[in-house]
Amino acid sequence: MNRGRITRKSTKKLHRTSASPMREVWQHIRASKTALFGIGIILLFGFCALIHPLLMHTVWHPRLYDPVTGYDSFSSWYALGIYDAVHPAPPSWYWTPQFLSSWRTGQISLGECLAHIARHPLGTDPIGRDILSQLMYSTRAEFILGLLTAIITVSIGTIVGTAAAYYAGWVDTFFMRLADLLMLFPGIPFLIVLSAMMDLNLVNLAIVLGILSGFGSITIIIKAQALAVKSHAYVEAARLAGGSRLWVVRKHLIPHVLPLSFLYMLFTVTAAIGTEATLSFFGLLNVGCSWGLMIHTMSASGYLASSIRYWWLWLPAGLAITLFCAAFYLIGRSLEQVVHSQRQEG
Amino acid sequence: MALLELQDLSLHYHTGRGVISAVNQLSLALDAGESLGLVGESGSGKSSIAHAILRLLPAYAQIRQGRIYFAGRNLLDLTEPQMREVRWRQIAMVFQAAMNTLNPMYTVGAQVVETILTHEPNMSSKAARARVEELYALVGLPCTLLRRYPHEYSGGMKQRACIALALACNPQLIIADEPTTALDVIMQARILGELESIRKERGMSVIYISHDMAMMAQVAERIGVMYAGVLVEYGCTIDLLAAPAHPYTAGLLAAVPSMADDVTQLQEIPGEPVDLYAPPAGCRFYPRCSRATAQCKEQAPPLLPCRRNRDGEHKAACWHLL
Amino acid sequence: MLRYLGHRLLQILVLLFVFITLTYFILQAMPGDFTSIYASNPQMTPEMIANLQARFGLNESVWVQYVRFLRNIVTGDLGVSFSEYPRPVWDIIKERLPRTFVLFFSANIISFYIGFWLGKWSAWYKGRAADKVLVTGSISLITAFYPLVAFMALWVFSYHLGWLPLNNFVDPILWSNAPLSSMQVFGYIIYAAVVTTALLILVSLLLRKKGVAGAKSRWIPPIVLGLALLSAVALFQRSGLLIYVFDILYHLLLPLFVLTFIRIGSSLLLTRDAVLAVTQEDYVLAARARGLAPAVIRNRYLARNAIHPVVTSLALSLGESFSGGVVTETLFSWPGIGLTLLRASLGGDYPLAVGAFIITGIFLLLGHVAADIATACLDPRLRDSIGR
Ligand SMILES: Nc1ncnc2c1ncn2[C@@H]1O[C@H](COP(=O)(O)OP(=O)(O)OP(=O)(O)O)[C@@H](O)[C@H]1O
Ligand SMILES: [Mg+2]
Repeated sequence: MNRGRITRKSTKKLHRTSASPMREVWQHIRASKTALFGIGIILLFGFCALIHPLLMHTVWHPRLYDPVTGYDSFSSWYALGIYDAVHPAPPSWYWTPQFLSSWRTGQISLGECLAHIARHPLGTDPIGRDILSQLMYSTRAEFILGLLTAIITVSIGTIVGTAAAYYAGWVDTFFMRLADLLMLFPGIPFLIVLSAMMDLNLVNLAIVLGILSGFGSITIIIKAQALAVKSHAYVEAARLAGGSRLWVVRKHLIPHVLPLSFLYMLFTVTAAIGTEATLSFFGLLNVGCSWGLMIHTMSASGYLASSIRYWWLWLPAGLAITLFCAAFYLIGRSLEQVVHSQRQEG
Repeated sequence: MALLELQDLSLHYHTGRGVISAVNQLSLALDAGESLGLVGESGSGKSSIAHAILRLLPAYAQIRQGRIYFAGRNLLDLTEPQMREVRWRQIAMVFQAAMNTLNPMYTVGAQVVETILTHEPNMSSKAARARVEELYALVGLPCTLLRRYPHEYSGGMKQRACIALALACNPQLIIADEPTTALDVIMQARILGELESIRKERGMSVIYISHDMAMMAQVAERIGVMYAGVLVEYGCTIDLLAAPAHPYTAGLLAAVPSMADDVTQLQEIPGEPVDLYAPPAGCRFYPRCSRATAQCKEQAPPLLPCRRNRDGEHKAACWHLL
Repeated sequence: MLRYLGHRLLQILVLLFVFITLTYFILQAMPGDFTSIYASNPQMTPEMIANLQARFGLNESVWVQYVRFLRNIVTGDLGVSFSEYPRPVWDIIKERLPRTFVLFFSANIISFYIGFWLGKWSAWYKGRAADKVLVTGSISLITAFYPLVAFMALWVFSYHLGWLPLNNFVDPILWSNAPLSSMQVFGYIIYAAVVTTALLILVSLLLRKKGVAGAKSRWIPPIVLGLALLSAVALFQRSGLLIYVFDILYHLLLPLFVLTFIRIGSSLLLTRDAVLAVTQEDYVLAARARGLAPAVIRNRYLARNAIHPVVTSLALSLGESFSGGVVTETLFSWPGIGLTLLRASLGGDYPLAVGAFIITGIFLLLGHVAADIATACLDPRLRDSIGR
């Protein structure tokens, strides 16, 4: 009984003393293990995305390793007596004993031997492209899609939501009805129908997703928060003290709504990546390479029935999707608590 | 033998920002049929004691030492099922936030009946309902309210419903944590009067918890004054009011407005309340005390009988008694 | 109450109207019409295409087309499918809708039931090993790439173990000389399920009204359920349909299992969070103080007060199931509304795609309404605000 009251009292104090609600969010991220874990995963993916072009320019020859057009004929292995390498080829370390014996007989140097072992660390796909290269190359696309969608969604949601809360009246009515309407648009079916009618690429997809959820559910959530902040006395005080309307919005509403926006940005990334993966998985998206498409390639080439034997065709991509989504989800989940306690104080 | 006896109780809350020492080495006894008032300003640990007695403390609260004897048994040693038998059957409570102590999903009547049937499983539900109607009549609520949901009650009605609920199982002890805060003065007097007459009639004990000295003076036979988790003074109501021995009690009494006094003479106690994350090593009151000396800063004063003492019961914890 | 419902109904109709209009114009705005599919077909002369456009009224102004589109929808006419010409779209949808509905309705109900139950216990034992396992598992389920999970299940149960059929709604060989069409048999199954459920609800309502408490009455609903199922089986057996009924159910099993399994995660976490929020409430502490049994606190205090967001989410996800269904139905070749939508979109069957899409939107809307109503019915505080 006292518990609820007292803890709320004390967080309130904390809230007032901290400079901005967003800073509190950062402090929480630093303190939370799950959030740090999520950030770690995201950094790892970021590293992959950055290092891929470097690798392509240095050690990976584009003819062999290009994620879309690469092809390895394995002819250099014939000399070593390896004839069973056919696409989709298992990871190259599969043949480690052969490489080692070639090295021992002096056929190749140690460096060459290691290079052979690391030639396709995750194998190749049914049309001879390197899985690791595809995996790393796709990361960039996923980042672009996820962040672009999140930024579009949350910018729209934050601006429209705060505006609806602050100006009320017809602005509010209009945008709320619009939100009701957009929430009726079933996401994946809509995109499927769209993809039949137009060429859907990553940017298009991000814009459609951003508009649908930005004007839809996110607006409603942000508006509720902004309303709570608005009713808070000090906003009124600022208005009476002669601040212009825009100034009040910028100075008071936005900073207190930002943590919630940030939270939904994280969840939006998860949703966007999931949607992209699903659409690519059906082959409905016009992308050069993505994790979903990798799995699509596998099922389209008929390797599904023996999926355990050809694990490298789906496991890396599937894990990448899951981990990437999980990373953002975990950060979001650990932030939810702070943001909701802030929301209660409103 | 005393019905309830707290011996040397120390209670800490482990929060994210540190450890709060909410109750410190507190000893207290209460006889059957007696009424005790616990007074103290907000945050002095009154509710914490109540929760400790019923063992309702959250997991991050820790009782570092002490014993709570009730009817000869140490409540702290009981298992959870044993404790459930004690709760409400023997010790009932009126919670401070009466507003929120009823389940919003069920009618109030259903909740009272549920409580009675839990403790008297052999009773027919009809008999239980009859008992509830009696209780409602006792606290002055119309029986039609029984079929209503908590949100349909006013604050005062809820508080009275909670008192009825506390009486439901004929407990030996009721802890009334600010039972009348939501009521106007007339209602407050009436409810307290009724509670007192029920107490005398049934031979129950009651612990009243409040920060309102004037109210305590009306109902409590003995008063314990708490400051920052420490029992600073304890005694018979008449003695304590007539001749407070601890500077804090004296300050509290001086802050109570009375009809006779000139209102402008009201005094308040200077200084800030204690930071319970890092309480002073010696007497917890010394930073605000006008009579503080070096000894107060270093040594915590024990609760000892005062000089002017009729029954040997009046005790205070101060190096420089008034 | 009536005024509320009337108001709500009006709102729904307006929303629906705007939704259909918007859909129409968004799709209109796309470049080309369906005849452009045939543009590259060498056997189609430009005259034939123009003829086709005239037949479908595509050369008239957008507004005329729009008004006709609206009028047709109001009369329940969604046009004629191209790919299954000349079957009316509505006929196709009518056939596929129940399949989707049965699959997702049962999956949602079961997964929410399990998720609610597990979430309740997970919150109750917060911080213990079991709780940690459940939470980690749920997060994995939520973030796992669903098509992949489905594939794995297909692979394990159908290819590897061979326990369950690979795909499809029915076994075509078995059905080649069946007395009734699969749609009719499926209809009977739905009837049986509806009657059984209604019976069960009736019995439990009666039990509650009579106030029969105690250990004995707990066995009555399961017994009723058992009897109802037995009599349904007997009926099907007598009419010689049992084997076909079993065939449909057998094909339903794997998608149902996967769908249920994957959805447990989110309902579990949702329940757990809601219960933990309720745990902070004063009335829970007060209930403990009253010495109520842990089971009572768990069920009547924690779970009952936490049920609100869970039921809302259940209603919403029931509405969403028609849209989320695309993935599941494609993966398991379950010929429901989602698969229809995907195939129609890919195959350029424009009327069927739009029809299926509009139906999906309508169900989403119904889900929202159901969520509202459920919310209002479950909470006495809100029940009042509507009554007035
Ligand atoms: N659940 C809790 N978690 C953390 N700290 C707590 C908790 N309950 C009480 N405290 C702290 O313990 C101290 C004593 O609190 P308690 O509620 O017992 O005071 P009180 O005398 O009842 O005050 P009031 O008159 O305001 O009800 C306070 O400093 C409070 O901050
Ligand atoms: Mg208190």
